[in-house]
Amino acid sequence: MHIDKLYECTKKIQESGVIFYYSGYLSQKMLKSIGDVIKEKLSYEDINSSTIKRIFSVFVEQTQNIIKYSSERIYIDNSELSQGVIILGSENSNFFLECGNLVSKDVSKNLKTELIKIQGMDKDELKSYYKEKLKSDSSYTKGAGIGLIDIARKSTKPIEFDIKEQSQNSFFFLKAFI
Amino acid sequence: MKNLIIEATDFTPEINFDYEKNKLLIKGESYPESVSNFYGKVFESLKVYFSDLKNSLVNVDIKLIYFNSSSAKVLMNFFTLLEDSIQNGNSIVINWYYESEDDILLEFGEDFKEDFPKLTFNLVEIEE
Repeated sequence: MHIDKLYECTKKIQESGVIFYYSGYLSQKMLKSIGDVIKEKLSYEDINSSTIKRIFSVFVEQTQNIIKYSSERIYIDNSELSQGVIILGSENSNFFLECGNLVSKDVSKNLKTELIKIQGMDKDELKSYYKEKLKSDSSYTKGAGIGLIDIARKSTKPIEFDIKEQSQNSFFFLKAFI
Repeated sequence: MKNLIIEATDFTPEINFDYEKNKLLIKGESYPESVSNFYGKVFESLKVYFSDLKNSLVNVDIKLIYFNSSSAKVLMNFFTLLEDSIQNGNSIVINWYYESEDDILLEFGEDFKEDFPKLTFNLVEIEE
């Protein structure tokens, strides 16, 4: 980037409220590192520990969803890495956490159905739905599919999502507010 | 039966199951990439322990400061296993610890307590 463009870009990023932006391959190890950076940064700003915990919690669910479901994956030295985007920011008096990754068209169809359902629920309905899913399958090995409901429960406003269709895949975005 | 002791890691909690004293401890954070990789062996061990256990009082201390949604499912299965053992005359006491300002952990504790009425479920506040 040309140096005069860098200042413009920095200003635009600050105006958009972005605090942390990462786009690239993600692994569990990186989740830990990025999570530590986020927690430390927020503690410098005197954000209360309950909010930091909530943000960290949503961040883990979003990042682990990318790690598990992104259709852009590579293998390096026996490690599997998944491509995605994570953004932490603040707007008005909320923090927001956005995540984005490529998914197959089938997965995006299921995501859309599930998210529309979740968006229409209030706190109590989300709690019941979460409990119902938690008890549904006796095996825990598939991870229960409750991550999205968990994100919605911890969000202070209904979650937002968008799906941009591409030729072979869909790009899926999710935004949660804390 | 040999006690199960697993040290905490960045993503998994300390497991200290003292089978001789019937005291089970889970402490730390839980957000591994694969819950089955970690908890598979934990449940294997618990199943052996409970298969023989009769008319005993089991004390369970849960001191988790954070756990992800997959781990919530593990906890659900864990409490179900504990509840099933009551059929053999066992009684189970669970101490669910939470930090004062942690409304998320408190709510989880209250929900689990509600879902498992046969277990004695104590919500224990830790002053920060």
